[in-house]
Amino acid sequence: MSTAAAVHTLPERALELLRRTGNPFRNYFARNPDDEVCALYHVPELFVREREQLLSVVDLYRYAPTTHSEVVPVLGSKGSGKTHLLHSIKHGPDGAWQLLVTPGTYQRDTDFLEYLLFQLIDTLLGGGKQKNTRPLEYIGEQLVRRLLCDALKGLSPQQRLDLFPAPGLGRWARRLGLGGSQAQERTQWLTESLTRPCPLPFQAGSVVRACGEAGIEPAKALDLVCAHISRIEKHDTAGLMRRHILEGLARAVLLHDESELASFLTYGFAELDFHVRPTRQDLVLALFKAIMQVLQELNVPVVVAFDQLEDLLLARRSDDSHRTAESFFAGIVQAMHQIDGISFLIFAERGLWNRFVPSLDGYIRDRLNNPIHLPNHGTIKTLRLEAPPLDLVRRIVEARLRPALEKLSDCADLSPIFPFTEEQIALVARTEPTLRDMLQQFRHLFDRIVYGASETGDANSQRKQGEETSLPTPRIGDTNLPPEVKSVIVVETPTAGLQQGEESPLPTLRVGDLWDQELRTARRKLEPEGALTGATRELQSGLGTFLQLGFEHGVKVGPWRLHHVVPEWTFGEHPTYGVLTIAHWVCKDGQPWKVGIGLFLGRGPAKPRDLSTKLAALEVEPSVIDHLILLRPEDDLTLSGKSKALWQEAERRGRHARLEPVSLDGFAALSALPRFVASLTESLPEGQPLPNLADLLQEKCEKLLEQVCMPVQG
Amino acid sequence: MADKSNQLVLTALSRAAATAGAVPLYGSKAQAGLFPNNAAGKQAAQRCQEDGYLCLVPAPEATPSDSNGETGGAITLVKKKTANVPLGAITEKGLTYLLSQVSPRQVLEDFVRALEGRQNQVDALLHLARQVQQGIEAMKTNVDKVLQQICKLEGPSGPGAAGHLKALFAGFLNDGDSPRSTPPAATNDTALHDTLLAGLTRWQQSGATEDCPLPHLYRQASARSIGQFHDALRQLHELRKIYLHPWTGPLYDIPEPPYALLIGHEIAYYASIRK
Repeated sequence: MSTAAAVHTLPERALELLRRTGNPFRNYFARNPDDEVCALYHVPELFVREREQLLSVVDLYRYAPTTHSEVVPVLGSKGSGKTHLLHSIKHGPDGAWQLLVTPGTYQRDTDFLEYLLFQLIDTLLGGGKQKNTRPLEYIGEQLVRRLLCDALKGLSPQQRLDLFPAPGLGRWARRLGLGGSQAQERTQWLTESLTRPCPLPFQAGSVVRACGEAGIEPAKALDLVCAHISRIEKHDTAGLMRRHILEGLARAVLLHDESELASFLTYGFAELDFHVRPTRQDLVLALFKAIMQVLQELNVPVVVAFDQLEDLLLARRSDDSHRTAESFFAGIVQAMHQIDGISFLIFAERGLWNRFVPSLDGYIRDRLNNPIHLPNHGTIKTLRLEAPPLDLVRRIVEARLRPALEKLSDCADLSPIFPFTEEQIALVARTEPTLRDMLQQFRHLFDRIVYGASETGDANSQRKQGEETSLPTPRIGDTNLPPEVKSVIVVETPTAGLQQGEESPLPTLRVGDLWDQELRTARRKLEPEGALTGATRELQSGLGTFLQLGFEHGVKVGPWRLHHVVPEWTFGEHPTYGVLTIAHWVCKDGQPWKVGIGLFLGRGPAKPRDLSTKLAALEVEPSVIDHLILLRPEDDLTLSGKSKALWQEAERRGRHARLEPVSLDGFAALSALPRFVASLTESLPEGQPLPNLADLLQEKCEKLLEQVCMPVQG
Repeated sequence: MADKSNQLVLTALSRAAATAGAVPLYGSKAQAGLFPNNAAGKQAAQRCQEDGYLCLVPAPEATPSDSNGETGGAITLVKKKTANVPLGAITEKGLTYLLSQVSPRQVLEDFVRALEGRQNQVDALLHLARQVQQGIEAMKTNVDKVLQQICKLEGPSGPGAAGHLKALFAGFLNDGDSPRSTPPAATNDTALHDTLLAGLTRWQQSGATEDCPLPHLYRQASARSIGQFHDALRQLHELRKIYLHPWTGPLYDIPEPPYALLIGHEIAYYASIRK
């Protein structure tokens, strides 16, 4: 027998392979509903019933878009698979497309409807994808298909001819009434092409391609659509809002120019020619209704899913959690009354739900408990995610191990759960209360079998040893315990086999990596043209979190340190621009400076409006801020014209303000921070507080910290 | 004459109203009836039937056990005798007539008298039950002595026939329970389990979206102590009949800490039924 044959039996080769590829159970929690790891290890059979029910809820609003808004709570223990389930709805292949809004923060100090509106706008304009498609692209394409088709159908034969200007002699021929049939045929072809349903999977750009094939310039198609819109839309306020939204969407699809839509949704809607100046709340409600109408006409359901509610509501430990929860649920109920056609999904940790819901006002509870009737599923009030049964746990283990084991040519001869045994899987499935606990046990077990005894002894003996000794210590239900022992707490100690100084095979949580990952995701979302403008309120909320975290973790900038932070202070009548974060910076033995920090993202005509709104904060009596810092995209820092005049006027009146240039990475950091904190909290064992993040903030956001602080000498 | 007959009618109707079921129409030495067993009584009874104040009720048929006399003499004897006597019960019309003729107070007094009579009967029954229990205890003591004597005579390796007696003896040592009977503790546990499961089912059917808090469940259950309640919860959890859910807030916020239950590495404070 050769040496190679003696060493490389199938189990040995498999172990070697597993050792090289790493522990597939390392990722044992979903960071957020967009985490790609979820798709990597997805097991379709897991929570299949619950998924079908949720998709049925969404379909309810697809087929009857004006159905009353309702709430469906999805409850489960921490680590039961709620975020994974949400991911499968948002990105999975099941079901048609829907606009799924998954807020990453809860802005307690903001009016709920305003908060919800800007979450919707952020999702619509952002670069984040759902089922591999940007919301703006999908909605825009659907809309333009319909509008362009209607516009073409409404054209007279002469107008159709004008769409295709004939070159040279053809022009003379047309005057004589010749050569018109080709134009008619092209129009007919384009109309039919646009009437056909979108080919699946959806790919953006089909309308522009169809126009190109028919020989119509996108600019001409846009004119056609805009003329059609002005014919069909009313001239009241709601009609004007709808008109701007439709035109903005058409421009984004046909000319790839999203700035007009972004500008209208953040600025233009408040500048319409109103007879009576509406209040901030009226403006928000009117815009929300206009957007919803557009989406409902396209049969695109709007789903607002609050994931990791415990992190959203309890992000600030100092807050009164019951008050926060009450304002959140009251806000949802209020939004349900004001806007139809929204499906609210609340993915909540069961303990949080049990604690907060009984203390809510009776009316709010009744609305939350309102049942929904689903075809083929009966009436549902709430969905509960329990620990999966043994056969599903086995499939989950298989799904994790498969990518590695499939690299072996003769993997068919190997157990799909190698290196585990059926007994080990059964024990873990029986004793662990949640899916996440099970994955963590498998992670430990994998490390012990694959890495634990690899240094000494032959592989067979390791395997046997592994089978005999590597069963995880069950947390509950140990049958060897004497009957009088009613509970056991397992205190885990480091792996005995490791020598001092030896690198642990267990994956350590790298906070820096997590930060970089979230930063990349946020950057991708902010890259599209109008995304930054659309994310104004989300970024402001991120700025609030940034400073709050800096305050709680004792961040210092030179001699300055934070004394007090108000994450969001809303003022004035402008829903987008009337918000600042207030930070009190204090020097040793000095009086604190009350600094207002805001985002100055308005462009074009929105620029002076944004600036004047922000500068108005310095005029509020009694004085709330002493100094104003405005964060402006670095590519448009210069003030001119009306903006310059406003700035100089403020300076003349002795107001202290300064502009700070911020790069896309800086804004991405603000956007990423709340998600980063949520991911970090999720990765920690229950009850464990966040580690001190002062060093991380000072290392990763050094420049940003200096920009939002008082000037540092030297 | 008419007055006397009327008096008989009213008395009979009062008695019939105060009795829940049917009553013998005529009295006898052993048992009182609605009317005296004489000509005037029969005439009054006839009048009541004609006027629709009373209706005749068919007498219950004697069961085989009754006729065999296995269930005890007194009750069987009454049933045998009443089998031939017509039974009567008051009608709605009779009750209306009675209330129009006499004061409700008088009717109520009749009720009270009937209740006192029933009370005496219950006392007698309880007395009899106690006597029977004492008799069984005395028998048990005697049998215990006899069994111990047999055990001494046969020794540890006695004839195989003693196996059954040994089992009987062991049963007696265990507070008189035979091997086939369920121990009282187990019976109590089962009852408590059923109560808890019923409580959780009710909670679920009430439409609450949250899980049932343990203090609420304890108040629904008939547990002797919180310890017994916790044991029952643990057993149901082991049997995979319920889920226990943890308290995830700060520990100082638990509203009623004594009811919380440490299970595994979690502090359970809620429960729900497992489908």
